[in-house]
Amino acid sequence: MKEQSLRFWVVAFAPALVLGLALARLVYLAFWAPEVVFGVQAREIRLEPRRGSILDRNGAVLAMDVPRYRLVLEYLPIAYGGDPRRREAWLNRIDEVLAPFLGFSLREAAAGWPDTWWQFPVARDLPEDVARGVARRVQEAGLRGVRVVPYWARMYPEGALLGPVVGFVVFRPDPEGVERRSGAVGVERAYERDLAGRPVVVRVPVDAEGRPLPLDEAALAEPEPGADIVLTLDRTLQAIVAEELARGLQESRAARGDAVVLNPRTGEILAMVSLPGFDPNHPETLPPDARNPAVQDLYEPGSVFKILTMAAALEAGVVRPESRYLDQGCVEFGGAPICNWDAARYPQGRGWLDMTELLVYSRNVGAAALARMLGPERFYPALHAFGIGERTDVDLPDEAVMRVRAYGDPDWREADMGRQSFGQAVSVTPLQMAVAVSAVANDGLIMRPFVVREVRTAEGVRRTEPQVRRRALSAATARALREMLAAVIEREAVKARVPGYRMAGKTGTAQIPTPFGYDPKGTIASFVGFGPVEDPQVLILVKIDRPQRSPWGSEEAAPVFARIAARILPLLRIRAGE
Amino acid sequence: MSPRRRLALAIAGGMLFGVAWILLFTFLSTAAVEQGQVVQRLSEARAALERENLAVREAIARESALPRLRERARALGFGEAEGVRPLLLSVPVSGPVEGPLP
Repeated sequence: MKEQSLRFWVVAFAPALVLGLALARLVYLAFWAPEVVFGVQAREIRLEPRRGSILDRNGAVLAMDVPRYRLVLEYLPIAYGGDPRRREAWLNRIDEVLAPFLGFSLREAAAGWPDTWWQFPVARDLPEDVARGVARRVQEAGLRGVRVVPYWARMYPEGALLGPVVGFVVFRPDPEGVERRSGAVGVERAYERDLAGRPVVVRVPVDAEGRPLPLDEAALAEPEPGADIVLTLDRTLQAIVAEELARGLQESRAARGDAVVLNPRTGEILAMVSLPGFDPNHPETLPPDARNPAVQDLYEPGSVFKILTMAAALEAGVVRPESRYLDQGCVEFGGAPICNWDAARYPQGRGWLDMTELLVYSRNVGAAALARMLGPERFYPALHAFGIGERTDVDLPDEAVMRVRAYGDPDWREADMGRQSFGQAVSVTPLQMAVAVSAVANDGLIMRPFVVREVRTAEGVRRTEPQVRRRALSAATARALREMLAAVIEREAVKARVPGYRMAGKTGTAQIPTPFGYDPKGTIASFVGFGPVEDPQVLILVKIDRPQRSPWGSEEAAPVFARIAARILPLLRIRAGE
Repeated sequence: MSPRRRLALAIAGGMLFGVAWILLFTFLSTAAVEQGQVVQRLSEARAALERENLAVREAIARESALPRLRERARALGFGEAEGVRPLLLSVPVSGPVEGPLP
């Protein structure tokens, strides 16, 4: 009996011990330390959202996220062992299946695969159809360790046409330190929060080959796509403006130029072109200072600024359109000489001129006389009313602004006011100049300029309403000034005439400041105009930097203005006059 | 049966019960994983359809982009209207007279 009992224990001990240990381990893993299992075989997956699209005012796509794929090889020691011959055989098999389809050798693509990496990307930027073909072949051949990983790529179908305005995206670390795509310039940057969407990070257990094992709903969470953005820009108008500006640059042999088209009634920007532009499809090739010059670059506007000086003088009542002054070739202002641009031809000036003629013949001496009549106490507040020296509050990033040296500032001299009256010693961006003149076209009201018409989110549509910033001058003064500016085109700047339409505008020929005074060789030729005079619905500013054929705005910028206006006014359904 | 043998049998029975219970737990977990994989496959299929849809939208956007439209127009024999001045016509149009609202 005793012997029998001993035999029982000897036989039962070993299986009981094994079973007991296995049971203890299972209980431990199941109830006390499940993270040991998941910790070893869990993967944190960050799912990037689709970035919102950017559309023009008619719904044409200007920027969108498109699915692209990268082909990744994964050599997992747990699945294939560390044997180099097995790894070689594995690579050969992959190459045999995929190389004929892809048109390149995956073995060669994986030649630089470091030993310490367990995965290696061999191809990227694969489109949808190729990725599907690869996935099908991988499945049919039963290949292991080949993954087709989707990602989002940004695509700009219009190429360089809207580069500076729409902007581009680059990879940079977010506040959490994770490398993410983010807008670098233009609308892409200004509306980053709307466009970006919300990523999700899911921690899922995976099997030995890294395939997710979804155990709960959290593993199925999806990222929230970004909002779509509709611009005020019209790509057709943009293309016309770009075409005419390019032609203007070519004819004048100028290096670069800008053009802005806006609706003075609402502040909507219809076109914004800077040439040479850049193609946002290849951000890696762009210079580090790639930007939107129409908003970010300052220049001295020159004679177009006389519009503001005249507006201030008319508004203050120091002159009326028919008031006359004695035009002399040169005058002294605050101890510094101020001369007309044609003082060599008319050393004694043009004699008695009225206010319209002051603008028609673009008299520097006349503008300085107006500033003298206004005095600094009225001149500078008037400039402020037009928004000179401050940002326009446009919904584009990094708007440049330069302080106006004004009365009361320690560095202000009286001579400054004389020069500022005709657009020297004051710097603006093309957009700031266009917005200031838009007050004349809009019965004295300055609107906030904007490029985004609506933001379409999952919650609804957020529209941008036109917003009055301030009144710069009375409606009556604005109407009178419009007639005077119409005379400029009718009597002098004839190259700005638009067949069928009565337009108003002013030329500008500005010297270019350098650290050593003004550049004697180059000018900035510009023209700002609007129309039709009776009911202005569109304002166009053209700026050409350093034209070689002729330095004058009336010769180089005015014809570009006229050609743009002639093409876009009918498209905007603005009826031609008699 | 001696008390010792009874105790041994009770221990063995308890262990077998424990193992059976854990096997059941594992089986249920596996079933959950399989169901989860089905859901995930469906989710992946939907994502693939969405990506395919976007690929089609991409193709449409590329084909309707202005540079491509110009290219196609040139291929069809259309050229740029160089030096052509538009002829503006003023045509008197009389629209319907607005009547009182019903």
